[in-house]
Parts: sequence; C-alpha cells; structure tokens
Amino acid sequence: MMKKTAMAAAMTAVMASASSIPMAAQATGPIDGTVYGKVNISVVNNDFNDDGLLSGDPENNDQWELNSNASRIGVKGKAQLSENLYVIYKAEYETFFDDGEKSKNQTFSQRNIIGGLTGNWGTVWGGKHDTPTKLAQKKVDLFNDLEGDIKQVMAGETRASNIVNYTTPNFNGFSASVATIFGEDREDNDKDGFFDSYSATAQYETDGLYLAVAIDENVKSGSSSQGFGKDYVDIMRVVGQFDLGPVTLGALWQNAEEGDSSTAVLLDPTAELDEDSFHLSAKWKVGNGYTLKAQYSESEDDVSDNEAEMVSFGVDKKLGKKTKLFAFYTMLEETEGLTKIDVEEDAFGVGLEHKF
Amino acid sequence: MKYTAMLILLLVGGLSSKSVWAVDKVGDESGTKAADADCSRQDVDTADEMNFAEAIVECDQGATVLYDAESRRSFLKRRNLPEKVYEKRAASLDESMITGRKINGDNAGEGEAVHVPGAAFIIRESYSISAPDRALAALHRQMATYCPRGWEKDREWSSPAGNQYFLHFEFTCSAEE
Repeated sequence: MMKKTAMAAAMTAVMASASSIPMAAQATGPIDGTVYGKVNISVVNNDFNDDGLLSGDPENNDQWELNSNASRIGVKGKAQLSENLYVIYKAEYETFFDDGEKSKNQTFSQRNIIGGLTGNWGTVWGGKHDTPTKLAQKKVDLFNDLEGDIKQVMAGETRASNIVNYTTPNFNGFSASVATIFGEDREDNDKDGFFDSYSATAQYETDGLYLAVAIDENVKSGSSSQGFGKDYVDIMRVVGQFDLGPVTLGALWQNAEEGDSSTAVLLDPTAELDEDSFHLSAKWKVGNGYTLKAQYSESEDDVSDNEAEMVSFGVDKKLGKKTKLFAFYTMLEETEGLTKIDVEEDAFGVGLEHKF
Repeated sequence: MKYTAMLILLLVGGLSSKSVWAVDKVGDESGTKAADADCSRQDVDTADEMNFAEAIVECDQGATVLYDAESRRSFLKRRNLPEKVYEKRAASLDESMITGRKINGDNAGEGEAVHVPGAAFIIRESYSISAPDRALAALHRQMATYCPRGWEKDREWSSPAGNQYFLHFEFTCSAEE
C-alpha cells in the first residue's frame, strides 16, 4: 500500500508541476522532429533439412524468399521545457517491403514507441520498447534482423509493452538503466505490482571497449528459450565488445531460468528452466568498403537437454555512407532433448540496406 | 533475485566513481547538455540504443523551445513567465506613431497600478557606465508601479546598447501578507 501511495503522491507532484506551465509557455511553433529509418531487403534461399517435419514435404525443402528485415520508419524529436529539461519522443514502425503488410490490413507494426523527459538528472520514458537487457547486446549480433539473429537460439530478445524506464546520465562512460514492466495484461493478479517484472542494465563504454551486465526478472521473453519457449524468465546477461584496429570482437553469455509468472511452472510446479547461452562474433574491415563477418551462437537447456547451434558468415560492401550490399550464409541446428531429433536450416542470401 | 543483488553491487560501484556530468556539465553556459553522443552515426542506429535520448537531445537539429530562455527560471519553480514590459512599451510606441495617440512618459501602457502576487516582469532602462544611478531610480519607479505592495528581484543583468547599456531587472510581485 505504501508503494502505491508514494507513487500516487509522486505522480500528483509531477502533474501539478506540469499544470503550472503558463499558457504563454505552451507556444505554438514548428513541429520538431527527425524522420529516420532504413530499408533492408534480401533475397534468400531457405533450406529446411528436416525430412519434412517442419516444411511438410521431404522432397522439396527449400524455397526462395524476398525478406524485409525489420525495415522501419520512425520519427523522433524533442522540445525544450527549461534550461536543462527536455520532453523527448520516439515513434518507430516496422514496414514490410516484401509483401506490404505484417498481417491482413496491417501496413505498419509498432516497434519502439516512447515519450519521456530528459535532463542532467537522467532520462525517464514510458511506452513500448526494447528492454534494457535486449539493448545491452548493442552490436555483438552482426546478423541482427537476418536469419542469423541471436533471437533464433536464446531468450531475452524482448520488446515489452507497458514499460517505464529510468536511465542515469553518463558518468565517465558508465550508465545504467532500470525499467519496470507492468503486468496489466497478465492473467495472474499476484504479479501486477509496480516492480514485479523488471529489466536492468549497467554498461561501460569508452573508445574501442564496451561492457554490459543486464538482468531480467520475471519478464516475458520475446524470443524462445530452448526449454520454455516465449515464457516468463529470469535472465542474467553479460556482454563485451572491443576493437583491435580494423577487427571488432564481441561476446555474450547469458543464463535464463524460469520466472515467477511462467506458464510452464503454473501448469507443472516442478518445471524448471536452466538455459545457458553464449555468442561470439568477429568482424574485420578489410578495406575498399568491404567488411567480413562471422559469428557463432549456442544455447542449451540443462533440464530438457534441448539445444541449438547457429553459425553465420557474411560480407558487407559499402556503397556509400548510408548504403551497403551484403551477402550471408547461416546454418541453424536444433536438437530436441527427449527425442534427439535434429532440425537443420540453411539460409544464404544477398541484400541491400539503405539508412535514411 | 540473486541477479538483482549482483546488479545492485555493480550499480553502486559504478555510481561511486566521479561523475563528469555533475562536476563539469551542469554549469554549461549554453544551457544544453555536453556532447556524449556520437552525432556522426545514423539516426536509425542511435535510436536502437539504450542511451538514445542523448542522441535526440545532442544530435537532432534545434528544438521547439517551450520556455523563456532569457528568464532562466527553473522549470519547477516558475509560476508565470515574466512579461517583458519594454517590449510591450515599444509596441505601444509604434502604435502611437501610426495612430497619433499620445503616450505619457515612462508609465506608458501600464495603466492603473494593480498588484498581482506572483506576477513576474522584466524591465530595462538605458544608462551610461559613468552614471548608472538614473537607471536604478527609473527601474525602482517601474517596480513600484507594477508591484505596489512589494516585490522580490530575481535577476539583474546588463547588455550593451550602442554607446550605452541596458540595465535589466527581472522581479516578481510579493505574495499577499
């Protein structure tokens, strides 16, 4: 009760302050904002070597696809409220360059959408957004949004609804974020409090070095774990990336366990998850606009013995500051712990990315 | 919960280090945050990072300004933006030149003196460095006109005006006692 009372008092104070903005201050003016986005399309051959288990046809397992790899358009901006206080916003939508819609009549799909305040005390925002744990991976996933995305093998790649986040100012390269995710859409009323699900990260970044530690506590994962699928999990994630001249190396380790609101645990109180995942990546700028990339990801649930391995290779060719061509190959192998059935998926493709 | 405890330890360790922000950046005369963001990067990339707010503030062009930068009042303390009396008087003078209506001296456009607690004003008078007293006297007459029951002076500053200077006072009418 005290928590709710304190929150109500804080909200009242904020509202009172906001309502004291004089009418003259609510000036009309140009809408401040920056439109941004990217087009990322690829032509891909996907080959399911699963004897027809997933594709349904053991003789014809491969297909050609045109993919729109999280192509997006967004607008972001700010308005200055006082010397050190800004209101900020960001509204970003996925758009589908392959078939024009995510599902029937859905031309745009919401990505990260927030409104908030920022000043020299830090930043507070609320909305629908990637969790701090997801963002902690930064750029160690070199095949993000493609077939080799690490979300194929591990939990924690989550965009959460009803999320409120605080990020500290930058202290000598160090910053931290804490986000609470409200359980208003959840069926169990026991876990719809202010801080029953949260995600947090502490990160340090300086020239050529990036380190981050992140946790999720009872957060519904946006990507499947090897044991529980997309369920409520607790996650510990550690990320590092550093530059060695033209070479950038990255590594990620994480452990995921069952969360308090896990559906699997609700159905079977003895159910457990203990997924260990790691990821290594390397890219090498070889000159003339070419970058070679390689990465390996592995994930295994020690309880169910489900496991997945993924390896990707690729090359990028810059055509300009904002534009590149790319080619890649990804192999994903998943093993079901109980039956030991292997499912292998190979994909290769070429694509174009343009940022605006 | 074991993960939470580990993160708290890291947070405490990190935050106990010297804060560049607190020491070096709060007093930034430009009134904007010092640059932490790499503004050479693409918007779509910075938007996808944890510290995207820094990039919005530091890298995006311009901002709609919803406050009076000249008054320097803090956001949470201000009740009213100050009325720039001299701008209002200048507008009245322009109007009188067009209509031929006579404007009466220093109190032009001020009307009957009414004390509004909390009302804020910015006034100014020109002066020369050798004789600032005349400006002070004129400014005090104006303050007594706008706030007959007393005032609190919030800020005082000068700005050059040809061979002379303008002395500005920002003040707020006192609360009823």
